[in-house]
Amino acid sequence: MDLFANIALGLETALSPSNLLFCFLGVFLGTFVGVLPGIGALAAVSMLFPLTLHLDLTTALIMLAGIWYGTAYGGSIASILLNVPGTPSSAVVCLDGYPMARQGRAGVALLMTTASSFVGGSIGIILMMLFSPVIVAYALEFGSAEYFSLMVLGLIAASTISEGSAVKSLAMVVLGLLLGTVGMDIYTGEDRFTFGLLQLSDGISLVALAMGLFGIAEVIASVRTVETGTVNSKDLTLRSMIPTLDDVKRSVMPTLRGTGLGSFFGILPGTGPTIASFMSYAVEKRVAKQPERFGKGAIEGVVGPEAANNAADQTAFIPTMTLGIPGSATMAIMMGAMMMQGVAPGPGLMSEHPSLFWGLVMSFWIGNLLLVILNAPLVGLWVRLLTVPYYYLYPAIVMFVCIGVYSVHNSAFDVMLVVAFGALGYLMRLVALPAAPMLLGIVLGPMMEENFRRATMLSHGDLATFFTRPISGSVLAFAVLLLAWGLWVGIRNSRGHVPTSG
Amino acid sequence: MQKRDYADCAAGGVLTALGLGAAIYAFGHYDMGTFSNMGSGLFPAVLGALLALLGLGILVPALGRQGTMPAIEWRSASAVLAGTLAFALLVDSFGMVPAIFAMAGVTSLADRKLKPLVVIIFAALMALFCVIVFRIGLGMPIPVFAWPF
Repeated sequence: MDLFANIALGLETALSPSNLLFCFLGVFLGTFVGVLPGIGALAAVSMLFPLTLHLDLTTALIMLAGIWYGTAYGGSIASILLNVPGTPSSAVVCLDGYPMARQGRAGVALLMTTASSFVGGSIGIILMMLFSPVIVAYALEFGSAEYFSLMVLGLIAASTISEGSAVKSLAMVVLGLLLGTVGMDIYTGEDRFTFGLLQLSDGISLVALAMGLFGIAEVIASVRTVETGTVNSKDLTLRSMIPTLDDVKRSVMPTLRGTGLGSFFGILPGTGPTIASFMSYAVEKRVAKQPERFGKGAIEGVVGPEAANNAADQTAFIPTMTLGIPGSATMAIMMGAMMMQGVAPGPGLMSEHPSLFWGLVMSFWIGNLLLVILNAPLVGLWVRLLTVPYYYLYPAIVMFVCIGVYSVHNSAFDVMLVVAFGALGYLMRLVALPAAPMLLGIVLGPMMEENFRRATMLSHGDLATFFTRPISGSVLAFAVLLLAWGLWVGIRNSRGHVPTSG
Repeated sequence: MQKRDYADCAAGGVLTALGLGAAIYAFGHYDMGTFSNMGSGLFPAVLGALLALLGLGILVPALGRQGTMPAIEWRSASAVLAGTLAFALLVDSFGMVPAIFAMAGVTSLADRKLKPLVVIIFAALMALFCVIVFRIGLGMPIPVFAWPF
């Protein structure tokens, strides 16, 4: 294997001055936004996404990726200091991180989360380097039928494994797929569902949809609910960050276990950092000799979930980059960024754009390293950010959304779409319809239709082709099992048998 | 608590109607084709039917279940949406700076915690930031000021 040649190529790309600068900018902005209350990773990535359209594609992806894993770091800072998770995936860190802060050990908690995040992230990156070429080797043999089946599996997994009602998630996936058909049909050139609006014939703008559903809807829901916190920053000296030997000893195994869980859940479609961090917390509590320490400032409950969510952040790129099938809404946005610049992620990516792929992978490492270096001296700045009142933040967020969406196509129509999707997103929140599956649907929709058409054309209209081809058939069988399981759990829960989870 | 889960009833009902509408529209307006040579309408029609089914799957169980009606934040929703709309309507004909002022003015009505003068200063700072970053820095072809008449 010429792994080392690839690593060298990647380092060369990632270390070029402009890539290094935008990697730094990405992780900085990511941490910044992650610390701020009321803006999640997804909103952050979609808000800053239009900015990256003006950059070279590799640089753009490096920056977007930096924003994505940077928010995880920022989110845990908010969790530990304020007991307010900046992002959902750092909600678990509140459980023991905040008690640690109240015991005057906030510095230790921050340093140990940074260290365990770095370990988790690094192992995730190594897995990505080792496994991506293997998956690509298999994927090159896949035909349209296999791709279609894989996408079906991905969408079903995304809607049954995530929290909440499986039927609702599935409905949102299908709504997303349906919205994906809006615009010109690539086979016949016919406009579909445009109702005479010329602006819709290119399809619904992904940026407008994401900003409406995640940016505007989130602002509306947060305006009256987000409270500004107060932090005692006097405790946060560099000296207070030094952990005791006992802290380090207690952290090693949870970090490794968390990394394992995170890497696994990151690769699976539909799961991801949030589920990985919750699982890690549950596991640590179960294997602990004194489980009663949990919730009262146990360091194991901080480092495990942190390692898990950072490992998952990295491994989530594996299916997106090697198969072109995003497992989460954020990955769908990453893919959107690539497609808008004319590069389709998939098995061909590694061989056709090696410097992009390996440069991105190596930039993860540099980005994670930058975060370690950044976090210690900048903690004072983050603490001050935590106390910015939301009434200053939300007009600024709306402004970024407006300018960002407008700038993609210089189109005021797209900003109006944001208004429509913002209203829709807020209503969906009220009735607990999840928005993330919809985004996955709209990205995968056109690809699913294309692969379906190609597969049935090749099989002369025989739908059995999806079941008789061995790989496609087993993937679909698995999807059906997963669907049956998801619906069964749903029916059981709606009858009042809520499963007790540790 | 209400007798039925009206929130889910509404969600399921709207999705069912949307799915049926899409399927019927696709059936009536686009070519279905055959599986070996699919027309442009087949995929949307199937998706519409599927959405209608899933909508029923949300609607029917909700009929026999108690639920709470979520409270809508009318004020926040209308201020934020109207602020965004104001930007969309003004940016092409009046330019970026007036659009930002209008957006900030309308949006900050959501909680009225900022005094009008503070809003104006804040809007001015945001506009300045945008002109520097987006117009000068990134060179986006977005007019700073314009006059439609």
